[in-house]
Amino acid sequence: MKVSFSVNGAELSGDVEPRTLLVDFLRNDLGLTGTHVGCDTSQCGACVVHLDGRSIKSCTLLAVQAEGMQVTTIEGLADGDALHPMQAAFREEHGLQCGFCTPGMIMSAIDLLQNNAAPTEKEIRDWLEGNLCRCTGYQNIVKSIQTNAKSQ
Amino acid sequence: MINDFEFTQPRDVSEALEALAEKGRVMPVAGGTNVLVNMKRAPLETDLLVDLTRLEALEPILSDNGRIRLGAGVTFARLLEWRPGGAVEGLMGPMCVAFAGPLIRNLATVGGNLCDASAAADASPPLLALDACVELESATGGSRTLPLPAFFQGVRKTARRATELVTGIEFSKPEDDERWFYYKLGKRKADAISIVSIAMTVKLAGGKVERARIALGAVAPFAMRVPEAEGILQGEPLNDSTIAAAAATAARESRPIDDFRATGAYRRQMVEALVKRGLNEVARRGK
Repeated sequence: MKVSFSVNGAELSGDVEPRTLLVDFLRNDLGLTGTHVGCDTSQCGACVVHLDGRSIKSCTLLAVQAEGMQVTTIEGLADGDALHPMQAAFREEHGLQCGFCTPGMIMSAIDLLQNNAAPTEKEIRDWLEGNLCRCTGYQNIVKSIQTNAKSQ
Repeated sequence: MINDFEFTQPRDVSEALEALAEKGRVMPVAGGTNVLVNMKRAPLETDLLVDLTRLEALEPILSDNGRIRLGAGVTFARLLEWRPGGAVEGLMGPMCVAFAGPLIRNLATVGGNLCDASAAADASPPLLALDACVELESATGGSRTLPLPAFFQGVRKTARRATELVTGIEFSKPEDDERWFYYKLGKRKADAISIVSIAMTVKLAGGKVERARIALGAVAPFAMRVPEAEGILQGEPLNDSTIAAAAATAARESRPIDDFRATGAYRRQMVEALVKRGLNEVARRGK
């Protein structure tokens, strides 16, 4: 069926099967492979995107459900060569190891700071309960978010 | 395994009711956080998926004349931000924190959680303890209201007819001196499904229990009240012996199963322990 919504600021319309998950549409149809599929059961948070500015897991939404809405993926954050401040903070503090969870972590962290500009360490850790990282032990991820929050 | 189905996104309740009245198998979906995960394990038993996310009429939280009405489409993220105070906030606040994580709370709705009717559904025990009713509407049958215990009918089975839409959940706002207790026991704090969950409201008058509502999750085919245990407390003071008797009775009334999260025997012990803990806390508070 026909669907039209905006992805990273570009209006697009396409023909998708109703059963297509948003994450599959982003990756397979649009080639936006920065949004990862980890668990496919809505637990790991590798597939986080923003839907009208709020962070959601894109494996728990059908592409057709996004009709008329604004989707932002990790590819939509940087301004040309200038990284989004949260991306820059993750680079600065080395908030990653293998990098698989990183896009979801960054999308989730940006939504946290939209809701709470100066979160405590506990608030950061609580917020990330739906984003799993199997490498870092979260230490540098939390530090990255704190660094970004302090610089705002 | 993801099967084929048609999809429709009604813009208002009457369009949604018409869609639900369509021939064939029809399934409403709100936040989709259960439906879309289940869809990957087994084909959805539906020919038409009716997306409820655009129904603004299901979104308000209303408080009027001592009655509170939650639209069925209220997300857990919004419930968590809500500040009704007293027992309502005391039960709903920690339940929302215990519910999945922020990313799921941004989509999942209270109506969806009740309709999914998992025995472990997080919203059920607090709403049972608040004596909530579910409002249902259909294109041809008008609307009806069911108390939550009559809404739950079996394992993931509710009294909702295929053509009906759950539009809201309604309950009386407890009085300011109402006491409460909530606890969710899971394997870990983050993103875990209940082993046992408990919510209670207790009204004390002159040192005696005027009314107690004790609700349990994940210890029966669906979330339940424990009327015998509540009855034991009625008109009695909260002391070691009444609390022990109510806790033992609640454990007997529960019907837990063994599964990969816990054994039935463990769950039953935890019911006794948590009812005891809750009533002790209720007795202490306000002293």
